[in-house]
Amino acid sequence: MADDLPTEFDVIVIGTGLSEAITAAALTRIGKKVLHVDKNDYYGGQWAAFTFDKLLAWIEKARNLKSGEKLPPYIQDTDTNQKRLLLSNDVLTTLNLEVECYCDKAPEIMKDDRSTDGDEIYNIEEIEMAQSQRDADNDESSESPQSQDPSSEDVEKTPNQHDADKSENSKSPQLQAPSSGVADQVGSNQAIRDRTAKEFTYQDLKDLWRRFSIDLLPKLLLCRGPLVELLIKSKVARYVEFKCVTKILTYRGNRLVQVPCSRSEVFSTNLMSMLEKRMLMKFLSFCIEYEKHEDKFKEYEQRPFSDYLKSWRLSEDLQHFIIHCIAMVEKNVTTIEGLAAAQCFLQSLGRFGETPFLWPLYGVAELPQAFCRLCAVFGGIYCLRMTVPSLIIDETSNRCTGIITDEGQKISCSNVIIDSSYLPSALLSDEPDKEKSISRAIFITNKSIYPTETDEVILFSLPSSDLSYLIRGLEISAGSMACPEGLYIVHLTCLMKSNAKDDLQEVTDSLFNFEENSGKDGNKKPKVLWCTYFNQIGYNVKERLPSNILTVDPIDSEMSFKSIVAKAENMYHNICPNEEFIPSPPDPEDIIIDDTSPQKNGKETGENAGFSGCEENEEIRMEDNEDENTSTTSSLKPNEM
Amino acid sequence: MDELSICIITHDRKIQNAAQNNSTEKKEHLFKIIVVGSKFTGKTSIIRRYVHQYFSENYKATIGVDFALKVINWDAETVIKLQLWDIAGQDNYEKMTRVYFKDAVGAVVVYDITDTKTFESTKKWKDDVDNKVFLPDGSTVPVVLLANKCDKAKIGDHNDPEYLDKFIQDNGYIKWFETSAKTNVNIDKAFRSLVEEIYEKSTKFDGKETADPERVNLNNTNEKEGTKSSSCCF
Repeated sequence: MADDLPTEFDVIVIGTGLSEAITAAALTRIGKKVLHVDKNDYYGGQWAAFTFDKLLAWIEKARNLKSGEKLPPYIQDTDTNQKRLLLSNDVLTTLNLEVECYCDKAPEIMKDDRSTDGDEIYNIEEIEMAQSQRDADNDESSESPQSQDPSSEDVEKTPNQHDADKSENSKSPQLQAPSSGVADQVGSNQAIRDRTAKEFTYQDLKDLWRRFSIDLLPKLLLCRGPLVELLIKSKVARYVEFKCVTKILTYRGNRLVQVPCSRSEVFSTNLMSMLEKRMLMKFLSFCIEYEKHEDKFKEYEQRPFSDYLKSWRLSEDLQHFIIHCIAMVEKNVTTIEGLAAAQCFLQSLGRFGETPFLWPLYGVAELPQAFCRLCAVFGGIYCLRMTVPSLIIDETSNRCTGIITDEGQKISCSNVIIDSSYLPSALLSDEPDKEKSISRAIFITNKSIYPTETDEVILFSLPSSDLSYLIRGLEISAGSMACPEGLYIVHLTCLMKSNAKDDLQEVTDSLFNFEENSGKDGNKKPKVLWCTYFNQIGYNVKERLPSNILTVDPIDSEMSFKSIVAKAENMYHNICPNEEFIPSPPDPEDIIIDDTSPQKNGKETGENAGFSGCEENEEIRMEDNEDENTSTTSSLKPNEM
Repeated sequence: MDELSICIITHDRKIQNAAQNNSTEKKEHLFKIIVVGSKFTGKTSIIRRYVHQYFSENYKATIGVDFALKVINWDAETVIKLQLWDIAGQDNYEKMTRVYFKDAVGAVVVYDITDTKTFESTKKWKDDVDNKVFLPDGSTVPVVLLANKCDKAKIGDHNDPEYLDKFIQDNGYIKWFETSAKTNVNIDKAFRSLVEEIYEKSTKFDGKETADPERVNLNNTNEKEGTKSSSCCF
């Protein structure tokens, strides 16, 4: 594949995660020659989103990947002053993977109906057998006694069946089922639920494979966050459409309740007393321009945010509310961090919708792809499914001078940007860096956790039962183009504590049913049809690399994109210190087609930013539809086009 | 050589307004068509030939432009604007990013009649199109297959017309054409045939194209808001 590539680039970018993609686009935007490669056959690395079949294939691959031996990371070239840094393909970025299926498995029809797509055939039976085997293994070691009941007939049939009654009992007292709250909400919407709560089988999920777009690393954009501003400025916004997050939920007591997101919502909510409302409003008004009142927080600046809130004499409920639902921070952050986070939330309110968050249609994985497109439009060259065996390092200057392709070709460059999971494991920390690693769960369910009549994107922010960490959840439905009609995808994410399933289990149990007819409120909670748990892992780079090799963590644990954009900008300015970061591409008005002299070189075509095709309702296009091209036509002959 | 329609893009707002006033009764359609196929099959040449009636052996890459725009006076009442999206530097692999497919209503798959491998790849390109872009009713978008570089000698049995007739039926193309961007063979015919199909389908989904009141026009939003905190609800 690489045989026809140019042999010289300014920058070679290895890995197509979001910060690499943004940096690559920024570089080509100012005329740098960029080669952008990824070892996978999809864009995004740990930022990818998959259709259902591809997700199963990804799971299978991640399971089978064994970390290789720690080999010496460098090889000396005998007669030159060069050494080679050997890149690896087997650094584990996904750990503790578990898959559970709770929908009735109709007899499997063992045919791959897409066998035309020769490169990605996988055998679902193998996956399931592997799963059964795994579960059997787990049973023997019996580390998770609450979820398996070996004596049950069901378990014998489908070994990964969850015994929901049992897990109900094992639930921690702090996190009871939110059923009563949901029930209140549900009442009037019974009919809707009944209509949508179709029975889905595993075969249905597989048949509907292409209607899914399941993110590995879901995040939300703050309406006034740096990524939204960058999307607008770079006009990458034209490639992606968004929906507003429609509701933010949290637990209050044991109920899921809606977080009020505006003055009127605060005043109409019955979640707090009049006094509390006034206190909250007073505090939030301060938050919006906290910098102006340094005297009010100076003393607490580096002390815990929670202490500071206490100093405002806010009630426990309000403190929870501000920390977990407005600032959305972990409990131990400093006052200054907490205030900044709350301010960002407040400033983002009302820009595009009721809540401060946007969710990209088809998922976050669209974003790296959109920046890759910008990069390509400005001349970047893309190679997916390309492994780079080694980087060449000149020992005299201690700089990377290029790469060696898998075909042995040398491609030179002056800078390399690399996803750190491509580095040899000998250069990485032995253990995952927990600050850079997250626990994830993905559920496919048959109804919403908060059923309403409209299509919702729901964010929920739940502290763990001991309040030691924050779990954020996102429920998306068919309107976001991420799953089929009648199904819901719920993403749970938290910082990695031990392993994904343990970290998320209690929230999982309080939100969902795993079996039909389990418990008295069984039917009111969404039923999980299929789910997976996994950890996405980041490591520390132990050794100092040549200064023109910039490394990027494969994932990012933040909910929004602040640090990702900062990272990209930082790398860009490292390479191009005095250049603007992704200046706006020329406006359509600035590009003129001169049709009178077709022989002339260097003609360019018009660009139409206001393109509008067939769009779904409630989508947001971050483009100015008034920017239609000015176009006139001349000498048109319908029959000759 | 056909005398072709030509579109002029001008940056003069006044002219735009005048043009709009003159053609107020005309119905305007905007169709996005994506052009895919392996490297060096002539995708860019085809687009340039169709839009600019221009061919060169050595193109400079068109930097910073997403698509070429072609305006067609379809009939007395209808203007069709075609956005032809070039794949840029992303054709090293038989799959595209979804952002490239977004909102496409038709596709052109190109192969090189002198290179059998590029014909074999058409299957993957076509699959990718079928899996990533749909019309409002969930059906796949119309696709034409172009056997490009027909000014050169064919290599391989698959270029046989009878074989191709069956091939496009089996693989869900609407038609195939032997084309040459270099000598301008069948380029207009192929696009015409694709646009006819798209237009016919679009009349079915007309209602879906109406602007969504919930959609936010970002630039307008900015103007309205003024200072940073004024939009905040608190």
